[in-house]
Amino acid sequence: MKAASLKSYEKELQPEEPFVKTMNEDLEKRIETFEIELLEQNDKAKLTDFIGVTVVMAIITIGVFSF
Amino acid sequence: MSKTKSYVNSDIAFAYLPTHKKERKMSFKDLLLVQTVVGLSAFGLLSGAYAGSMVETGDSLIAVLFGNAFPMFLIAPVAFYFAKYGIDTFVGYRSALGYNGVKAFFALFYLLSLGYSALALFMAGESLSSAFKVVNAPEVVSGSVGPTVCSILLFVIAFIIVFRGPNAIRKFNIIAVPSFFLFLIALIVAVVFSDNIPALSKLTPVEPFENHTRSFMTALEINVALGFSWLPYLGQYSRLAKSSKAAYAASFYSYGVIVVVAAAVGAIAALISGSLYPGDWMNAIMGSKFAIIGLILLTVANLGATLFLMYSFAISFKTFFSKSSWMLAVCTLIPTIFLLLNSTFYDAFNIFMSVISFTMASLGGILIADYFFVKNQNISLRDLYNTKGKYNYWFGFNPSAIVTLVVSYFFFWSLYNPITLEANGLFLKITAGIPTFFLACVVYFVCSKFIFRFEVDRVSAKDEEFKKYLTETKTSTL
Repeated sequence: MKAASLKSYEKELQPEEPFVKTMNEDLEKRIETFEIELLEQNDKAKLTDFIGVTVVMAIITIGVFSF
Repeated sequence: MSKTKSYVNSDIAFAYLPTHKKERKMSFKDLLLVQTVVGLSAFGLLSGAYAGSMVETGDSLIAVLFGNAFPMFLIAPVAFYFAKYGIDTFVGYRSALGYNGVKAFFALFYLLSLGYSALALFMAGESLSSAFKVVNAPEVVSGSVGPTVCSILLFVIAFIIVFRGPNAIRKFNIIAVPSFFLFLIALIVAVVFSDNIPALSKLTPVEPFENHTRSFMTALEINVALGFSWLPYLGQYSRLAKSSKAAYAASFYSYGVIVVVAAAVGAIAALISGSLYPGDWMNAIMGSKFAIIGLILLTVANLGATLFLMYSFAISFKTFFSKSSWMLAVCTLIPTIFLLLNSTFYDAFNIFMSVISFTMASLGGILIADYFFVKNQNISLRDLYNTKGKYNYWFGFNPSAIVTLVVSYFFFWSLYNPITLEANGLFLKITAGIPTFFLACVVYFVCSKFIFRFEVDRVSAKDEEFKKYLTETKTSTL
Protein backbone atom coordinates (compact mmCIF):
# COMPACT_ATOMS: atom_id res chain seq x y z
CA MET A 1 0.00 0.00 0.00
CA LYS A 2 2.82 2.36 0.89
CA ALA A 3 4.53 1.56 -2.38
CA ALA A 4 1.30 2.17 -4.25
CA SER A 5 0.63 5.50 -2.61
CA LEU A 6 4.24 6.64 -2.96
CA LYS A 7 4.12 5.64 -6.58
CA SER A 8 1.10 7.85 -7.02
CA TYR A 9 2.78 10.84 -5.37
CA GLU A 10 5.93 10.22 -7.38
CA LYS A 11 4.08 10.05 -10.66
CA GLU A 12 2.31 13.27 -9.93
CA LEU A 13 5.24 15.21 -8.58
CA GLN A 14 8.06 14.17 -10.92
CA PRO A 15 10.56 12.70 -8.45
CA GLU A 16 13.53 13.15 -10.80
CA GLU A 17 13.73 16.73 -9.58
CA PRO A 18 15.54 16.76 -6.21
CA PHE A 19 13.30 19.55 -4.95
CA VAL A 20 10.14 17.52 -5.66
CA LYS A 21 11.65 14.36 -4.18
CA THR A 22 12.45 16.18 -0.95
CA MET A 23 8.94 17.60 -0.94
CA ASN A 24 7.47 14.08 -1.27
CA GLU A 25 9.43 12.80 1.67
CA ASP A 26 8.43 15.83 3.69
CA LEU A 27 4.79 15.23 2.72
CA GLU A 28 4.85 11.64 3.98
CA LYS A 29 6.31 12.74 7.32
CA ARG A 30 3.77 15.52 7.70
CA ILE A 31 0.85 13.18 6.95
CA GLU A 32 2.07 10.64 9.51
CA THR A 33 2.52 13.30 12.20
CA PHE A 34 -0.89 14.76 11.44
CA GLU A 35 -2.60 11.35 11.60
CA ILE A 36 -1.05 10.58 14.97
CA GLU A 37 -2.28 13.94 16.31
CA LEU A 38 -5.72 13.43 14.81
CA LEU A 39 -6.11 10.00 16.38
CA GLU A 40 -5.19 11.46 19.76
CA GLN A 41 -7.40 14.53 19.49
CA ASN A 42 -9.89 15.28 16.71
CA ASP A 43 -10.70 18.97 17.23
CA LYS A 44 -13.90 20.06 15.53
CA ALA A 45 -15.69 23.35 15.09
CA LYS A 46 -18.44 23.70 17.67
CA LEU A 47 -21.64 25.70 17.49
CA THR A 48 -20.27 28.12 20.09
CA ASP A 49 -17.42 29.02 17.70
CA PHE A 50 -19.96 30.61 15.36
CA ILE A 51 -21.69 32.81 17.93
CA GLY A 52 -19.52 35.96 17.67
CA VAL A 53 -19.65 36.24 13.90
CA THR A 54 -23.36 35.33 13.81
CA VAL A 55 -24.20 38.10 16.28
CA VAL A 56 -22.24 40.65 14.20
CA MET A 57 -23.98 39.49 11.03
CA ALA A 58 -27.35 39.79 12.75
CA ILE A 59 -26.50 43.35 13.87
CA ILE A 60 -25.44 44.27 10.32
CA THR A 61 -28.65 42.81 8.86
CA ILE A 62 -30.91 44.55 11.34
CA GLY A 63 -28.90 47.77 11.00
CA VAL A 64 -28.95 47.99 7.21
CA PHE A 65 -32.57 47.00 6.74
CA SER A 66 -33.91 49.35 9.39
CA PHE A 67 -31.87 52.20 7.84
CA MET B 1 20.17 27.13 -8.49
CA SER B 2 19.24 30.80 -9.00
CA LYS B 3 17.95 32.78 -6.05
CA THR B 4 14.57 33.31 -7.78
CA LYS B 5 14.15 29.57 -8.39
CA SER B 6 15.04 28.82 -4.81
CA TYR B 7 12.56 31.36 -3.41
CA VAL B 8 9.84 30.19 -5.83
CA ASN B 9 10.46 26.52 -4.98
CA SER B 10 10.20 27.34 -1.32
CA ASP B 11 6.83 29.07 -1.94
CA ILE B 12 5.59 26.10 -4.01
CA ALA B 13 6.49 23.61 -1.27
CA PHE B 14 4.90 25.87 1.30
CA ALA B 15 1.69 26.14 -0.76
CA TYR B 16 1.49 22.42 -1.52
CA LEU B 17 2.44 20.74 1.76
CA PRO B 18 0.08 20.70 4.75
CA THR B 19 1.37 23.18 7.32
CA HIS B 20 2.58 21.70 10.55
CA LYS B 21 1.26 23.11 13.82
CA LYS B 22 4.65 24.74 14.46
CA GLU B 23 4.31 26.67 11.20
CA ARG B 24 0.88 28.06 12.04
CA LYS B 25 1.88 31.34 13.61
CA MET B 26 -0.77 33.82 12.50
CA SER B 27 -3.00 35.26 15.19
CA PHE B 28 -6.44 36.76 14.62
CA LYS B 29 -4.90 40.25 14.26
CA ASP B 30 -2.24 39.06 11.77
CA LEU B 31 -4.86 37.33 9.64
CA LEU B 32 -7.20 40.29 9.79
CA LEU B 33 -4.48 42.65 8.60
CA VAL B 34 -3.07 40.53 5.80
CA GLN B 35 -6.50 39.55 4.44
CA THR B 36 -7.70 43.16 4.60
CA VAL B 37 -4.69 44.21 2.53
CA VAL B 38 -5.51 41.49 -0.01
CA GLY B 39 -9.21 42.32 -0.02
CA LEU B 40 -9.03 46.12 -0.37
CA SER B 41 -8.80 46.26 -4.11
CA ALA B 42 -9.97 47.52 -7.46
CA PHE B 43 -12.86 45.03 -7.49
CA GLY B 44 -14.19 46.43 -4.23
CA LEU B 45 -14.11 49.95 -5.67
CA LEU B 46 -15.73 48.81 -8.88
CA SER B 47 -18.52 46.70 -7.37
CA GLY B 48 -19.30 49.64 -5.09
CA ALA B 49 -19.21 52.00 -8.08
CA TYR B 50 -21.80 49.85 -9.88
CA ALA B 51 -24.07 50.12 -6.84
CA GLY B 52 -23.56 53.90 -6.89
CA SER B 53 -24.47 54.05 -10.56
CA MET B 54 -27.80 52.29 -9.93
CA VAL B 55 -29.16 53.44 -6.56
CA GLU B 56 -28.96 56.44 -4.20
CA THR B 57 -26.39 56.81 -1.40
CA GLY B 58 -28.33 55.04 1.39
CA ASP B 59 -29.30 52.06 -0.74
CA SER B 60 -25.80 51.85 -2.22
CA LEU B 61 -24.33 51.54 1.26
CA ILE B 62 -26.90 48.86 2.17
CA ALA B 63 -26.09 46.93 -1.01
CA VAL B 64 -22.33 47.03 -0.43
CA LEU B 65 -22.46 46.26 3.29
CA PHE B 66 -25.02 43.44 3.26
CA GLY B 67 -23.94 42.26 -0.21
CA ASN B 68 -20.36 41.66 0.91
CA ALA B 69 -20.95 40.58 4.50
CA PHE B 70 -23.68 37.98 4.03
CA PRO B 71 -21.97 35.77 1.38
CA MET B 72 -18.80 35.87 3.45
CA PHE B 73 -20.85 34.88 6.52
CA LEU B 74 -22.06 31.86 4.51
CA ILE B 75 -18.70 30.70 3.14
CA ALA B 76 -16.32 31.75 5.96
CA PRO B 77 -16.90 28.43 7.86
CA VAL B 78 -14.71 26.71 5.22
CA ALA B 79 -11.82 28.44 7.01
CA PHE B 80 -12.30 25.85 9.82
CA TYR B 81 -11.44 23.11 7.32
CA PHE B 82 -8.31 24.75 5.90
CA ALA B 83 -7.11 25.75 9.36
CA LYS B 84 -7.64 22.31 10.91
CA TYR B 85 -5.80 20.43 8.15
CA GLY B 86 -3.30 23.18 7.21
CA ILE B 87 -4.06 22.80 3.52
CA ASP B 88 -4.56 25.19 0.62
CA THR B 89 -7.85 25.61 -1.26
CA PHE B 90 -7.07 23.35 -4.21
CA VAL B 91 -5.90 20.45 -2.05
CA GLY B 92 -8.86 20.86 0.31
CA TYR B 93 -11.46 20.87 -2.44
CA ARG B 94 -10.39 17.38 -3.55
CA SER B 95 -12.57 15.87 -0.81
CA ALA B 96 -15.71 17.46 -2.26
CA LEU B 97 -15.05 17.64 -6.00
CA GLY B 98 -12.73 14.68 -6.59
CA TYR B 99 -9.16 14.86 -7.91
CA ASN B 100 -10.19 15.78 -11.47
CA GLY B 101 -13.03 17.97 -10.26
CA VAL B 102 -10.43 20.18 -8.59
CA LYS B 103 -8.66 20.54 -11.93
CA ALA B 104 -11.89 21.97 -13.34
CA PHE B 105 -12.09 24.31 -10.33
CA PHE B 106 -8.51 25.33 -11.03
CA ALA B 107 -9.46 26.18 -14.63
CA LEU B 108 -12.15 28.45 -13.21
CA PHE B 109 -9.59 30.01 -10.88
CA TYR B 110 -7.49 30.68 -13.99
CA LEU B 111 -10.34 32.62 -15.60
CA LEU B 112 -10.94 34.46 -12.33
CA SER B 113 -7.24 35.40 -12.12
CA LEU B 114 -7.22 36.61 -15.74
CA GLY B 115 -10.39 38.63 -15.21
CA TYR B 116 -9.35 40.17 -11.90
CA SER B 117 -5.85 40.98 -13.16
CA ALA B 118 -7.35 42.64 -16.25
CA LEU B 119 -9.76 44.70 -14.15
CA ALA B 120 -7.05 45.89 -11.76
CA LEU B 121 -4.68 46.65 -14.63
CA PHE B 122 -7.28 48.50 -16.69
CA MET B 123 -8.25 50.61 -13.68
CA ALA B 124 -4.54 51.29 -13.08
CA GLY B 125 -4.03 52.09 -16.79
CA GLU B 126 -7.02 54.41 -16.83
CA SER B 127 -5.75 56.18 -13.69
CA LEU B 128 -2.26 56.56 -15.14
CA SER B 129 -3.61 57.83 -18.45
CA SER B 130 -5.78 60.40 -16.61
CA ALA B 131 -2.70 61.48 -14.64
CA PHE B 132 -0.79 61.90 -17.93
CA LYS B 133 -3.66 64.00 -19.26
CA VAL B 134 -3.27 66.43 -16.32
CA VAL B 135 0.40 67.04 -17.23
CA ASN B 136 -0.37 67.27 -20.98
CA ALA B 137 1.64 64.16 -21.85
CA PRO B 138 1.74 62.85 -25.47
CA GLU B 139 -1.54 61.68 -27.03
CA VAL B 140 -0.46 58.03 -27.10
CA VAL B 141 -0.63 57.78 -23.29
CA SER B 142 -3.17 60.50 -22.50
CA GLY B 143 -5.59 60.21 -25.43
CA SER B 144 -8.37 57.75 -26.20
CA VAL B 145 -5.97 54.79 -26.44
CA GLY B 146 -4.11 55.94 -23.31
CA PRO B 147 -5.79 53.53 -20.85
CA THR B 148 -5.01 50.55 -23.11
CA VAL B 149 -1.39 51.59 -23.73
CA CYS B 150 -0.82 52.31 -20.03
CA SER B 151 -2.49 49.10 -18.82
CA ILE B 152 -0.44 46.96 -21.22
CA LEU B 153 2.70 48.76 -20.10
CA LEU B 154 1.75 48.05 -16.47
CA PHE B 155 1.12 44.40 -17.36
CA VAL B 156 4.68 44.16 -18.71
CA ILE B 157 6.02 45.65 -15.46
CA ALA B 158 3.87 43.22 -13.40
CA PHE B 159 5.05 40.30 -15.53
CA ILE B 160 8.72 41.16 -14.94
CA ILE B 161 8.24 41.62 -11.19
CA VAL B 162 6.29 38.34 -10.82
CA PHE B 163 8.87 36.51 -12.88
CA ARG B 164 11.62 37.79 -10.56
CA GLY B 165 9.86 36.08 -7.65
CA PRO B 166 8.56 36.86 -4.16
CA ASN B 167 11.38 39.18 -3.08
CA ALA B 168 10.67 41.64 -5.88
CA ILE B 169 6.95 41.49 -5.05
CA ARG B 170 7.55 42.13 -1.36
CA LYS B 171 9.70 45.17 -2.18
CA PHE B 172 7.01 46.59 -4.47
CA ASN B 173 4.25 45.96 -1.94
CA ILE B 174 6.05 48.13 0.62
CA ILE B 175 4.88 51.01 -1.59
CA ALA B 176 1.67 49.50 -3.01
CA VAL B 177 -0.13 48.62 0.22
CA PRO B 178 0.20 52.04 1.91
CA SER B 179 -0.74 53.64 -1.45
CA PHE B 180 -4.18 52.06 -1.40
CA PHE B 181 -4.80 53.06 2.20
CA LEU B 182 -3.68 56.64 1.46
CA PHE B 183 -5.91 56.71 -1.62
CA LEU B 184 -8.97 55.58 0.37
CA ILE B 185 -8.28 57.98 3.25
CA ALA B 186 -7.72 60.92 0.88
CA LEU B 187 -10.94 60.16 -0.97
CA ILE B 188 -12.96 59.85 2.25
CA VAL B 189 -11.49 63.09 3.64
CA ALA B 190 -12.22 64.89 0.36
CA VAL B 191 -15.84 63.67 0.35
CA VAL B 192 -16.44 64.60 3.99
CA PHE B 193 -14.79 68.04 3.98
CA SER B 194 -15.33 69.33 0.46
CA ASP B 195 -17.81 72.20 0.08
CA ASN B 196 -18.15 71.64 -3.64
CA ILE B 197 -19.79 68.24 -3.30
CA PRO B 198 -23.57 68.28 -2.87
CA ALA B 199 -25.09 66.58 0.18
CA LEU B 200 -24.72 62.82 -0.19
CA SER B 201 -28.45 62.30 0.34
CA LYS B 202 -29.20 64.47 -2.72
CA LEU B 203 -27.00 62.55 -5.15
CA THR B 204 -28.81 60.56 -7.84
CA PRO B 205 -27.53 57.52 -9.72
CA VAL B 206 -26.71 57.87 -13.43
CA GLU B 207 -27.76 54.44 -14.72
CA PRO B 208 -30.76 53.19 -12.74
CA PHE B 209 -33.09 50.46 -14.05
CA GLU B 210 -36.77 51.05 -14.83
CA ASN B 211 -37.73 50.68 -11.16
CA HIS B 212 -36.03 51.05 -7.82
CA THR B 213 -36.39 47.42 -6.68
CA ARG B 214 -34.73 46.17 -9.86
CA SER B 215 -31.87 48.64 -9.47
CA PHE B 216 -31.35 47.75 -5.81
CA MET B 217 -31.42 43.96 -6.35
CA THR B 218 -28.98 44.21 -9.27
CA ALA B 219 -26.61 46.37 -7.21
CA LEU B 220 -26.93 43.87 -4.35
CA GLU B 221 -26.24 40.93 -6.69
CA ILE B 222 -22.97 42.46 -7.94
CA ASN B 223 -21.77 42.92 -4.37
CA VAL B 224 -22.92 39.43 -3.39
CA ALA B 225 -20.73 38.19 -6.25
CA LEU B 226 -17.73 40.01 -4.81
CA GLY B 227 -18.40 38.41 -1.42
CA PHE B 228 -18.53 34.89 -2.88
CA SER B 229 -15.52 35.52 -5.13
CA TRP B 230 -13.13 35.34 -2.17
CA LEU B 231 -13.79 31.60 -1.87
CA PRO B 232 -10.59 30.40 -3.64
CA TYR B 233 -8.52 32.75 -1.46
CA LEU B 234 -9.87 31.57 1.91
CA GLY B 235 -7.44 28.66 2.21
CA GLN B 236 -4.32 30.73 1.59
CA TYR B 237 -4.01 32.28 5.01
CA SER B 238 -6.45 30.18 7.08
CA ARG B 239 -3.97 27.30 6.87
CA LEU B 240 -1.45 29.45 8.73
CA ALA B 241 -3.77 30.33 11.61
CA LYS B 242 -2.89 29.47 15.20
CA SER B 243 -6.52 28.52 15.80
CA SER B 244 -9.42 27.55 13.54
CA LYS B 245 -11.71 30.02 15.26
CA ALA B 246 -9.29 32.89 14.55
CA ALA B 247 -9.13 31.86 10.87
CA TYR B 248 -12.93 31.85 10.63
CA ALA B 249 -13.52 35.17 12.39
CA ALA B 250 -10.65 36.94 10.57
CA SER B 251 -11.96 35.75 7.18
CA PHE B 252 -15.40 37.15 7.91
CA TYR B 253 -14.27 40.50 9.33
CA SER B 254 -11.60 41.14 6.68
CA TYR B 255 -13.25 40.03 3.41
CA GLY B 256 -16.82 40.55 4.61
CA VAL B 257 -16.77 43.73 6.68
CA ILE B 258 -13.58 45.84 6.43
CA VAL B 259 -13.28 45.44 2.67
CA VAL B 260 -16.66 47.15 2.43
CA VAL B 261 -14.82 50.45 2.98
CA ALA B 262 -13.43 50.24 -0.59
CA ALA B 263 -16.86 49.38 -2.00
CA ALA B 264 -18.51 52.24 -0.08
CA VAL B 265 -15.87 54.68 -1.36
CA GLY B 266 -16.45 53.39 -4.91
CA ALA B 267 -20.22 53.83 -4.53
CA ILE B 268 -19.94 57.43 -3.32
CA ALA B 269 -17.32 58.28 -5.96
CA ALA B 270 -19.61 56.95 -8.71
CA LEU B 271 -22.57 58.89 -7.31
CA ILE B 272 -20.59 62.14 -7.18
CA SER B 273 -18.91 61.80 -10.57
CA GLY B 274 -21.59 59.83 -12.41
CA SER B 275 -18.88 57.58 -13.81
CA LEU B 276 -17.24 54.17 -13.29
CA TYR B 277 -13.79 55.55 -14.15
CA PRO B 278 -11.33 56.65 -11.45
CA GLY B 279 -10.08 59.56 -13.56
CA ASP B 280 -13.56 61.09 -13.40
CA TRP B 281 -13.84 60.33 -9.67
CA MET B 282 -10.65 62.18 -8.87
CA ASN B 283 -11.49 65.23 -10.92
CA ALA B 284 -14.98 65.44 -9.45
CA ILE B 285 -13.95 64.89 -5.84
CA MET B 286 -10.42 66.27 -5.49
CA GLY B 287 -10.28 68.78 -8.33
CA SER B 288 -7.71 68.61 -11.10
CA LYS B 289 -4.87 69.95 -8.85
CA PHE B 290 -4.90 67.08 -6.38
CA ALA B 291 -6.37 64.47 -8.71
CA ILE B 292 -2.93 63.54 -10.03
CA ILE B 293 -1.77 62.40 -6.57
CA GLY B 294 -4.84 60.18 -6.10
CA LEU B 295 -4.46 58.75 -9.58
CA ILE B 296 -0.82 57.83 -9.07
CA LEU B 297 -1.63 56.24 -5.69
CA LEU B 298 -4.42 54.22 -7.31
CA THR B 299 -2.13 53.13 -10.16
CA VAL B 300 0.52 51.85 -7.74
CA ALA B 301 -2.11 50.16 -5.53
CA ASN B 302 -3.73 48.36 -8.45
CA LEU B 303 -0.37 47.24 -9.76
CA GLY B 304 0.29 45.77 -6.30
CA ALA B 305 -3.07 43.93 -6.41
CA THR B 306 -2.18 42.56 -9.86
CA LEU B 307 1.14 41.24 -8.55
CA PHE B 308 -0.66 39.37 -5.76
CA LEU B 309 -3.17 37.86 -8.21
CA MET B 310 -0.59 36.87 -10.80
CA TYR B 311 1.86 35.42 -8.30
CA SER B 312 -0.86 33.46 -6.44
CA PHE B 313 -1.99 31.93 -9.70
CA ALA B 314 1.54 31.13 -10.94
CA ILE B 315 2.36 29.37 -7.64
CA SER B 316 -0.88 27.34 -7.82
CA PHE B 317 -0.07 26.47 -11.43
CA LYS B 318 3.35 25.14 -10.41
CA THR B 319 1.83 22.99 -7.65
CA PHE B 320 -0.51 21.48 -10.24
CA PHE B 321 2.05 21.13 -13.03
CA SER B 322 5.36 20.73 -11.25
CA LYS B 323 7.08 19.67 -14.49
CA SER B 324 6.49 23.10 -16.04
CA SER B 325 9.02 25.91 -15.77
CA TRP B 326 8.46 29.06 -13.73
CA MET B 327 8.54 31.04 -16.98
CA LEU B 328 5.66 28.96 -18.39
CA ALA B 329 3.67 29.38 -15.16
CA VAL B 330 3.96 33.18 -15.41
CA CYS B 331 3.38 33.15 -19.19
CA THR B 332 -0.04 31.51 -18.71
CA LEU B 333 -1.22 34.97 -17.64
CA ILE B 334 -0.30 36.65 -20.94
CA PRO B 335 -3.90 36.31 -22.29
CA THR B 336 -4.74 39.08 -19.80
CA ILE B 337 -3.49 41.46 -22.52
CA PHE B 338 -6.46 40.55 -24.76
CA LEU B 339 -8.80 41.86 -22.06
CA LEU B 340 -6.91 45.15 -21.97
CA LEU B 341 -7.20 46.02 -25.66
CA ASN B 342 -10.25 48.19 -25.03
CA SER B 343 -12.69 49.00 -22.23
CA THR B 344 -15.21 46.26 -23.20
CA PHE B 345 -14.20 43.88 -20.42
CA TYR B 346 -13.94 46.66 -17.82
CA ASP B 347 -17.41 47.86 -18.79
CA ALA B 348 -18.75 44.29 -18.56
CA PHE B 349 -17.59 43.94 -14.94
CA ASN B 350 -21.18 43.32 -13.75
CA ILE B 351 -21.57 40.36 -16.16
CA PHE B 352 -18.22 38.89 -15.13
CA MET B 353 -19.13 39.21 -11.45
CA SER B 354 -22.54 37.56 -11.94
CA VAL B 355 -20.96 34.53 -13.59
CA ILE B 356 -18.49 34.37 -10.70
CA SER B 357 -21.40 34.67 -8.27
CA PHE B 358 -23.15 31.61 -9.67
CA THR B 359 -20.07 29.38 -9.68
CA MET B 360 -18.58 30.46 -6.37
CA ALA B 361 -21.94 30.34 -4.58
CA SER B 362 -22.46 26.77 -5.83
CA LEU B 363 -18.92 25.66 -4.97
CA GLY B 364 -19.15 27.31 -1.55
CA GLY B 365 -22.42 25.49 -0.85
CA ILE B 366 -20.90 22.19 -1.97
CA LEU B 367 -17.85 22.48 0.31
CA ILE B 368 -19.87 23.58 3.34
CA ALA B 369 -22.33 20.71 2.88
CA ASP B 370 -19.55 18.18 2.25
CA TYR B 371 -17.28 19.13 5.14
CA PHE B 372 -19.84 19.88 7.86
CA PHE B 373 -22.90 17.79 7.02
CA VAL B 374 -21.71 14.84 4.92
CA LYS B 375 -18.21 14.13 6.23
CA ASN B 376 -18.81 15.42 9.76
CA GLN B 377 -15.48 17.36 9.63
CA ASN B 378 -13.55 14.07 9.16
CA ILE B 379 -11.14 14.22 6.20
CA SER B 380 -8.30 11.83 5.42
CA LEU B 381 -5.20 13.93 4.75
CA ARG B 382 -3.51 10.91 3.14
CA ASP B 383 -6.35 10.54 0.64
CA LEU B 384 -6.29 14.24 -0.16
CA TYR B 385 -2.71 13.90 -1.40
CA ASN B 386 -2.84 10.39 -2.83
CA THR B 387 -4.58 10.94 -6.16
CA LYS B 388 -5.46 7.24 -6.34
CA GLY B 389 -7.18 7.54 -2.98
CA LYS B 390 -10.75 7.54 -1.74
CA TYR B 391 -11.64 10.94 -3.14
CA ASN B 392 -11.43 9.62 -6.69
CA TYR B 393 -15.23 8.97 -6.74
CA TRP B 394 -16.19 8.44 -10.42
CA PHE B 395 -13.19 8.89 -12.70
CA GLY B 396 -11.88 11.62 -10.44
CA PHE B 397 -15.19 13.53 -10.33
CA ASN B 398 -17.70 13.54 -7.50
CA PRO B 399 -21.11 12.98 -9.17
CA SER B 400 -22.91 14.71 -6.28
CA ALA B 401 -20.93 17.87 -7.03
CA ILE B 402 -21.64 17.63 -10.76
CA VAL B 403 -25.40 17.20 -10.23
CA THR B 404 -25.34 20.12 -7.77
CA LEU B 405 -23.54 22.39 -10.23
CA VAL B 406 -25.99 21.53 -13.04
CA VAL B 407 -29.05 22.13 -10.82
CA SER B 408 -27.52 25.38 -9.50
CA TYR B 409 -26.79 26.50 -13.06
CA PHE B 410 -30.40 26.11 -14.18
CA PHE B 411 -31.70 27.67 -10.99
CA PHE B 412 -29.44 30.74 -11.14
CA TRP B 413 -29.94 31.39 -14.85
CA SER B 414 -33.69 30.98 -14.59
CA LEU B 415 -33.72 33.69 -11.90
CA TYR B 416 -31.26 36.05 -13.51
CA ASN B 417 -29.52 36.14 -16.86
CA PRO B 418 -26.39 38.24 -16.27
CA ILE B 419 -25.68 38.64 -19.98
CA THR B 420 -29.07 39.93 -21.14
CA LEU B 421 -29.79 41.31 -17.62
CA GLU B 422 -33.26 39.70 -17.76
CA ALA B 423 -34.59 39.03 -14.26
CA ASN B 424 -37.33 36.73 -13.04
CA GLY B 425 -39.92 38.11 -10.59
CA LEU B 426 -38.38 35.97 -7.85
CA PHE B 427 -34.99 37.65 -8.39
CA LEU B 428 -36.56 40.92 -7.26
CA LYS B 429 -37.40 39.29 -3.92
CA ILE B 430 -34.43 37.00 -3.17
CA THR B 431 -31.66 37.87 -5.71
CA ALA B 432 -29.84 34.91 -7.31
CA GLY B 433 -26.43 34.22 -5.73
CA ILE B 434 -27.54 33.75 -2.11
CA PRO B 435 -30.42 31.30 -2.84
CA THR B 436 -28.08 29.42 -5.21
CA PHE B 437 -25.74 28.85 -2.26
CA PHE B 438 -28.52 27.34 -0.14
CA LEU B 439 -29.81 25.24 -3.02
CA ALA B 440 -26.29 23.89 -3.65
CA CYS B 441 -25.99 22.91 0.03
CA VAL B 442 -29.29 21.00 -0.02
CA VAL B 443 -28.82 19.30 -3.40
CA TYR B 444 -25.29 18.19 -2.56
CA PHE B 445 -26.36 16.83 0.82
CA VAL B 446 -29.27 14.86 -0.68
CA CYS B 447 -27.13 13.45 -3.51
CA SER B 448 -24.28 12.41 -1.21
CA LYS B 449 -26.43 10.94 1.55
CA PHE B 450 -29.24 9.28 -0.39
CA ILE B 451 -28.31 8.84 -4.06
CA PHE B 452 -24.60 8.16 -4.63
CA ARG B 453 -23.58 7.18 -1.06
CA PHE B 454 -19.83 6.61 -1.43
CA GLU B 455 -18.03 4.55 1.18
CA VAL B 456 -15.73 7.44 2.11
CA ASP B 457 -18.77 9.56 3.01
CA ARG B 458 -20.28 6.77 5.10
CA VAL B 459 -17.01 6.14 6.97
CA SER B 460 -16.39 9.85 7.59
CA ALA B 461 -19.86 10.46 8.99
CA LYS B 462 -19.13 8.57 12.23
CA ASP B 463 -16.09 9.44 14.36
CA GLU B 464 -15.41 5.88 15.50
CA GLU B 465 -15.53 4.44 11.99
CA PHE B 466 -13.32 7.24 10.70
CA LYS B 467 -10.77 6.58 13.46
CA LYS B 468 -10.78 2.90 12.53
CA TYR B 469 -10.30 3.80 8.86
CA LEU B 470 -7.38 6.11 9.66
CA THR B 471 -5.71 3.44 11.79
CA GLU B 472 -6.15 0.83 9.03
CA THR B 473 -4.73 3.03 6.26
CA LYS B 474 -1.91 4.16 8.54
CA THR B 475 -0.96 0.56 9.43
CA SER B 476 -1.16 -0.66 5.87
CA THR B 477 1.25 2.03 4.68
CA LEU B 478 3.87 1.30 7.36
